[in-house]
Amino acid sequence: MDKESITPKSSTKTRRVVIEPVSRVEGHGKVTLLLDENNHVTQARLHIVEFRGFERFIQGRPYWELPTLVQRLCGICPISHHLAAAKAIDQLVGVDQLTPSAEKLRKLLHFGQVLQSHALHFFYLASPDLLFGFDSDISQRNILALLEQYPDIAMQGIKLRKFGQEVIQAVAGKRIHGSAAIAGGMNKHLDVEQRNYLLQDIDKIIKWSQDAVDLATKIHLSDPAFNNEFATVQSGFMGLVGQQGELELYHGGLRGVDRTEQTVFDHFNYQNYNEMIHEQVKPWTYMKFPFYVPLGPNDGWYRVGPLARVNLCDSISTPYAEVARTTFKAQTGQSFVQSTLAFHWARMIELLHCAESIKNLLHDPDLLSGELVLRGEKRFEGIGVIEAPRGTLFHHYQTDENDIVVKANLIVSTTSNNQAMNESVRQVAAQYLEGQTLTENLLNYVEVAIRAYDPCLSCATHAVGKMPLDIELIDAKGALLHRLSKNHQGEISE
Amino acid sequence: MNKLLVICYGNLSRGDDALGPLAAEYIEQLCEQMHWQHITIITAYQLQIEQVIDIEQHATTLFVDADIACKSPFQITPCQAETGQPHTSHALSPNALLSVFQRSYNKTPPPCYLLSIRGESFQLGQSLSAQASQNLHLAKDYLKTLCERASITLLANNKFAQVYN
Repeated sequence: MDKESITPKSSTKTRRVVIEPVSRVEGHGKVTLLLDENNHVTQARLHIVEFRGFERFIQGRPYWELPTLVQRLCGICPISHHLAAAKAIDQLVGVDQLTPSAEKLRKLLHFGQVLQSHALHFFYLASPDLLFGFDSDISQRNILALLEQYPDIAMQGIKLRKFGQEVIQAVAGKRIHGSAAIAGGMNKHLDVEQRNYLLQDIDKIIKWSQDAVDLATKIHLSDPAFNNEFATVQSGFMGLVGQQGELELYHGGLRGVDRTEQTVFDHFNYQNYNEMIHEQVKPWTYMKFPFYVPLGPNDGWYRVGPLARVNLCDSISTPYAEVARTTFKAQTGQSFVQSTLAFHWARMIELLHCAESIKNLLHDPDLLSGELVLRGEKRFEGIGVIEAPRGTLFHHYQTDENDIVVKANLIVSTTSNNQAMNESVRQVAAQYLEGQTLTENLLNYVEVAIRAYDPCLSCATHAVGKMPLDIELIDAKGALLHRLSKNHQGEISE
Repeated sequence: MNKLLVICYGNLSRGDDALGPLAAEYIEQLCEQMHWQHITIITAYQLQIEQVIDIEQHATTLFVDADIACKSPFQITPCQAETGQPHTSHALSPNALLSVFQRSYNKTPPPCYLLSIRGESFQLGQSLSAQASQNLHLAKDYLKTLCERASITLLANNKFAQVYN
């Protein structure tokens, strides 16, 4: 990807400049900056070429296919979709509480997924910016330069990622076809050999995760004034918490605070999510804008993901991650850390929590034996919610008498961060745009701001690298000023 | 250590993007029928950086992917580390992955090849197109020969390239 398609154009009142595509986020994005007559940035719009086929893809299929089917919506976080769908269809077979073995196996699978996803993002996508600087030569801000200058850190990232994949493979089998979770439970135990294999490396994995937290902490605190200000927006936060308010990635109640840090709901049953969360539609994008119903769309938008979760929880159940959380919360002296770049730090705290939790689970005999599947009375509606690596993920299905899905609604994590990403981009652009010229530095800053959220756009796009992309430049009156098209080979034409 | 690593990538539910995973299923069947022990098969949605560890543990790697730009039903090309490749997305090309390998291990990667099978349409929810299905059929014969010959002689000498020279 490159940044060559920067095409400032003027209309009579509002000038729009387009930055496309945004690199190192998953899928392709496009940013439009709207300027007023004085060339001040009034609005930023992150466009996502959203695929509007989720429902069509799912509807008409028998419910038991869903955990396997929905994995194919996203090549980046298939396990998150797998587990959210499984939680939903548990209810379709009348199960609200899994057996201990099944629940622990699902948690192990989930921790493996979050660990590998966070490792990939931090070491591969974000750390080149963080270690080399946002202004450094773009040809140096990549994993290759990281391997050259920080070989130990880079290899640890690769091995953390590998370990997470191995956990997934141990629970779910072949990575791409994983069908571990089924309605009402799981389809197999972990075997002893797999357990022992994973235990061989777990202490090393925890140590590397601690090192990653230390690195993220050191980077953030090296320039706290800048890092706490850059792309920072005052937002609400939402995520699951456990019964005691602890960090919970698999199952819990919803906790939501608003941008003034007041509680909107707590331990809220996600079965009733649509009483608290609605989605606003805007004419310039297919991507929706979720908000808290009691506050409305203007004041009720919020952030999800690692920053939200670490902010919202009262504690973390694993000791090293809890120490890291305490340090994290203490650094600003405020009850909620609003710094957008602190996403990276929070992400590494969760990475450590996952590594510690995997170790705990691997020593649990319930993984190796015990009842796996329950059945209850058939129902026709199921709602599964999980904390995916990028934030809260909702799967909602309705079925008919023949067990066919007749309605599906998904709220993916990146959608919940939609408004916040736009606000962060606007903040960065307003601060760094000089005159009427886009500079490479500004582009870098915009990308860094978006990347902090780790948005996954691949749910919304076609196969990566094969998606043609059109860019349109439209003036304030709606007239098309300019159009660029990119074909599947990346060739740009007008 | 198995000698041949086959990494097939794509998405079964995105039309012709399924060509990679379907090729993997075919090779798995072959391994079972022929009792081959020399092949490790990985299926994935996309290439990922940790696969350098798998590549390092094998003598030769064969990537299998769908490709809309492929000019024939299928084609095989040698891969090489390319530092000029973009490293800006989660998704990597084989050549980009090999450049990660080279930097990770400070050595030249083992011989790696990409088998591209021509696809036409990659929409979510679509099934394999008729043309892609035919291309896969043609590629299967080639894959079988490749794996068979590799198992008998050439891999032993790490001269995989001779299979199709």
